Amino acid sequence: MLGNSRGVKIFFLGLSFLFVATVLFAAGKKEEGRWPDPEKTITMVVPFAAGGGTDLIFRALVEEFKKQVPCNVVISNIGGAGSATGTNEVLRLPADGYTLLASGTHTVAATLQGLTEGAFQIEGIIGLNWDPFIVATQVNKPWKSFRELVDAAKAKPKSISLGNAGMGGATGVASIGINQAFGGAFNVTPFGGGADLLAAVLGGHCDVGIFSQTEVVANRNMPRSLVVLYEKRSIIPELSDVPTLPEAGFPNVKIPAGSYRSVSVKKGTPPEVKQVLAQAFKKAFESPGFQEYMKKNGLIPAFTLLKDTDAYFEELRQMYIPILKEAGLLKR
Amino acid sequence: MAQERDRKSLWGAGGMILVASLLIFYAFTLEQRRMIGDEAGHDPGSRALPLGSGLVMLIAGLYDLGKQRRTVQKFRTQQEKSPSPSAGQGTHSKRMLFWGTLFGSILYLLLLERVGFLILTTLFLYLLFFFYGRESVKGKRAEKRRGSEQGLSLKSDDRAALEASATSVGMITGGILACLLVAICYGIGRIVSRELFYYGRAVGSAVLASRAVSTVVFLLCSAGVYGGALFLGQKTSFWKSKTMKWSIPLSVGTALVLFLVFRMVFRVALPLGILDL
Amino acid sequence: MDAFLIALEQVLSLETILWIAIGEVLGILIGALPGLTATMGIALLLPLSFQLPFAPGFGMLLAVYCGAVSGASIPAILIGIPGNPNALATVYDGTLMTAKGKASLALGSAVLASFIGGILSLLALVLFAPLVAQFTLMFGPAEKAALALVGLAIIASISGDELAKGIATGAMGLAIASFGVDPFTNSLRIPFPELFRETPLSTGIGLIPVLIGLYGVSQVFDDLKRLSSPPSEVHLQQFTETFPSLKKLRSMWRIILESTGVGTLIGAIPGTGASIAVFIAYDRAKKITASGKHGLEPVGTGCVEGVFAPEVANNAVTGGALIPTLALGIPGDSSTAVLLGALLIKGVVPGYQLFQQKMHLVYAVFLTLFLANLFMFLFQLKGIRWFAQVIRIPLSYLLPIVLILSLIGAYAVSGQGFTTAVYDTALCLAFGLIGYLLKKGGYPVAPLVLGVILGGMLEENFRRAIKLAQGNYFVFFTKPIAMVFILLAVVSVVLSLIQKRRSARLVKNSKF
Repeated sequence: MLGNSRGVKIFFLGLSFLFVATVLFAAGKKEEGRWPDPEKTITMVVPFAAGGGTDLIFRALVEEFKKQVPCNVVISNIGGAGSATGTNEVLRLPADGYTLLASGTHTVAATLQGLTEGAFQIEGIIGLNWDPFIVATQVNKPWKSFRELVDAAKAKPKSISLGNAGMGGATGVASIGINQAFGGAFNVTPFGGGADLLAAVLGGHCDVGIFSQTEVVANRNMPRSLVVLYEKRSIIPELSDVPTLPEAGFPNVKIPAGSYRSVSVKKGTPPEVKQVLAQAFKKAFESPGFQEYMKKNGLIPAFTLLKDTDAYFEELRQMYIPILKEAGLLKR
Repeated sequence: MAQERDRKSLWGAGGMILVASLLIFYAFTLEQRRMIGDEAGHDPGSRALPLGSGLVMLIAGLYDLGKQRRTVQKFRTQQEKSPSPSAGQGTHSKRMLFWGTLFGSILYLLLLERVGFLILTTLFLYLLFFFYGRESVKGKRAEKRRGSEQGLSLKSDDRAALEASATSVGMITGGILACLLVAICYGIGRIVSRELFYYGRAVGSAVLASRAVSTVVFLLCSAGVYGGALFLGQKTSFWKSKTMKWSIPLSVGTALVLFLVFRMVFRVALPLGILDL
Repeated sequence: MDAFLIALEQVLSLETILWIAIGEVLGILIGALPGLTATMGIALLLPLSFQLPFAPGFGMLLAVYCGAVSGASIPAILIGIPGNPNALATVYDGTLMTAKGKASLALGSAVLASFIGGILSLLALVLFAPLVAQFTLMFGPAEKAALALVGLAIIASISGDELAKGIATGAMGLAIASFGVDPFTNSLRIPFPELFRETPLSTGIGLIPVLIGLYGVSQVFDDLKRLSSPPSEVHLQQFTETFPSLKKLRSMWRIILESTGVGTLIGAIPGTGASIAVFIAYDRAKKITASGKHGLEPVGTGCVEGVFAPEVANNAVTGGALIPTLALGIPGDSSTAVLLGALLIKGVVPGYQLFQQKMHLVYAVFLTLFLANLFMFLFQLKGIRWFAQVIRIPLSYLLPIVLILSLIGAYAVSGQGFTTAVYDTALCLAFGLIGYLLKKGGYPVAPLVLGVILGGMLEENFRRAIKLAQGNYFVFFTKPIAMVFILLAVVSVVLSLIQKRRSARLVKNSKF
């Protein structure tokens, strides 16, 4: 049937013997050690596609974080549904500290929209930074300042289009915030990401847009920046003359306008594991490499650890609720 | 033949209309929500694209259906008594192959996490090689039979292949062997690279404990076992029949290469299943 | 210049060169295997490139593309079966040359012609892509929506034998693209949203599983019927490296230039591909050589000219098809449709911004394409006798490997997420089945793919344009550029209707 029967027997027996030996040898050698197991891999889930702004920040952080832990660290980009897909994937995995979530304003937004349990099921390890947004327009447009823009919008409501980089993200929330602050005077229009929005604004198809600072600076023919949506002016030299909201004449307008980033783990992760992670991330955060990266990209440090991060996160959620509620978007 | 094709086209048009109708129905169930924080309005809405494409599909499908019916009728009147299209002798086994492939793939997906990538892939590939091979030998035989009427005879290795592949005992033994082989290749590669890793850590050698070295060691060990088994099989004239000769090494080899590339090099979380050592 | 240096640094790394080499070998093998298309090869390797940095990842895919286009000539010349549609026109003179015992010269000519076509069209790409991209700043949402419509209209009108079927699958692709989160309102656009809210279905239907399913899995289902057909017998002769003489090359300058022009242009028109270009180029070469002047042998008698024209043209398509892909985000043919998918997944959005801000990525594409062409030439030159062997690999071994590569490829895209991975793999399988059923019903698959790719662009820009115009649905007819695009779409549909009616009448006349 199968060729030489003696050969078959020898071959079969040999293989079986090897197999049994392998299994026995492997089974006896499983050791449990301190966290983290150097043989395991820590996965940082970034709930966005690779190459985006959030992704790049976490890549810079992980580069430094790698040097602080004995095991392998990888980034996994699981994008989709405004960060909800990646967040859900983290919640599905065990709370052993080997899976981290790149959390932040996007997590809050996705949770409040009912796409994930995210914000309620995670615990903060470290708070990182804020990336303040800038409202900018094409150089040929008539508005020289934010005040002029608002006046024009109020004079003829809904005639001026205000673009954001996508409804699910932080610029979306910011544009809603602005629109609500000025009585719904703008025609809020979502675009397919920052690059798309910038092209539309530069081409004059969309009147004004909300950008992150790096998007504005990276372009050779920069748009005219009207206002930076933060308490302080930008630390990037090219944008240092852009006024803040109070400086532009709106001291009472409060808009959650920027994206905040932190690192979280699934709820139920052992405290000692969280402690190890927090210390490693603290060193990574303080490393010259990451500090330099933040400075170059105009990111404003918002450093917190463990409990403080959770408290800050809750504050953030409270700030988002009224805006999303008014927008009819609040699901929980 | 043409008639057969036309009847299929009728089904195709009907299917398209069905899908289009479902899509249109679904489009109406969608919530038509105002855009967030936008009092300006003027958004055509979530429903626009699904509804629009559903309508286009429906119209195109109806047009197609009408056209196909016309051609089919024309054929009917023209060739009133044409013989029914011959089913072809291999149709039954081919249909089995199709459903087998489909359900096999679904089963593969369902069992992947439980059984693990390596064993399941090896087994699945082996079975596919086996059944596909049998089908193609059948085809070859039919061809040869036609040839032998003109004085040509069946080549001996083809006959051997046919005989070996026809037995289900041969299939089961082969499948078990393939799974054993892949388990051993992985097991030895894994144990050696793991021990080396721990040793490297114990003596504080960054090189020995690096991922690249682990991967290379794994590659060398499993390739060594794999090559050794192939060689031994050759020596003991184990791979006597042609199908055996290729399907076991090829299924094990493919599974190992995929595992190495995706899991070891690119860190894709291919499940280990029962081989979690 | 700075960007160029960055790109050079990325491309001239060992990693990039290695992956391009691997892609090239795989591409030539895939091209040489009858039935496996360039598009399928790229789709199968997409998950691998996804794991790599940009330059090696995209370079590898480009190498597969070039290799598969050129490798298709091997079986076309040796056994008269084109490896994929790119070599359809190479069969005529190629097989005649083999019959005359000049197989080596035919293969050598094909390799050289592929290289020349590839490099010349790369030049066209380098020259024209930035120019076209400059235009796109003038494209607002209305223009972009119209542009997406043009791409869909052209592909629907040329693929398949019936316009209605092409339009139907195109619309189906658009519908598939609409699943997931609505980009404007953030509401879930899936059947039974309450049930599937927290499943991966809320992400919509990913591009990669669709592509792999349609081009990989469905191919396996489709090829099951070929299993029992006897394998092709190849009588492999001793191959020598034989090239047409320099004098011959010089005498063929017109054929080379015209074929390059035809290939690049046809490639650059969205939706059209090599299978059209090769016939036009072959036809042109026939007319040029008919006079017998300049020492040219007439095409169709088994001569170098007849191999050169289509082989220059099909590789010229590669550079041409990349022009609209990089500059407009509209793929030139089905292979570049998959390449576009690879770009988008990597977060690289084609268009004005790409050429403004990320010029180093564009340069990286140019450089890797150059390397891919170079490797294609070198590898085929040195390895033609080994590549020719693959024709003998039986389908019964090939199909299972293609199937498992498809499934694992779709699985690997999501990396760590198990639920997402299983969902993607299931999608891939489902689309394999859908693709198979569509083919059975006589529906073309290419419009479906383009619909999935352009669906987002079309919908978002359509809605955006109307919103920006404050509810004016006729905004598309008020902008000249958008108007031109809409006219183009209409013209392509009408032309194809006329064309199909005419050919139908021809068939009828010949029958009765």
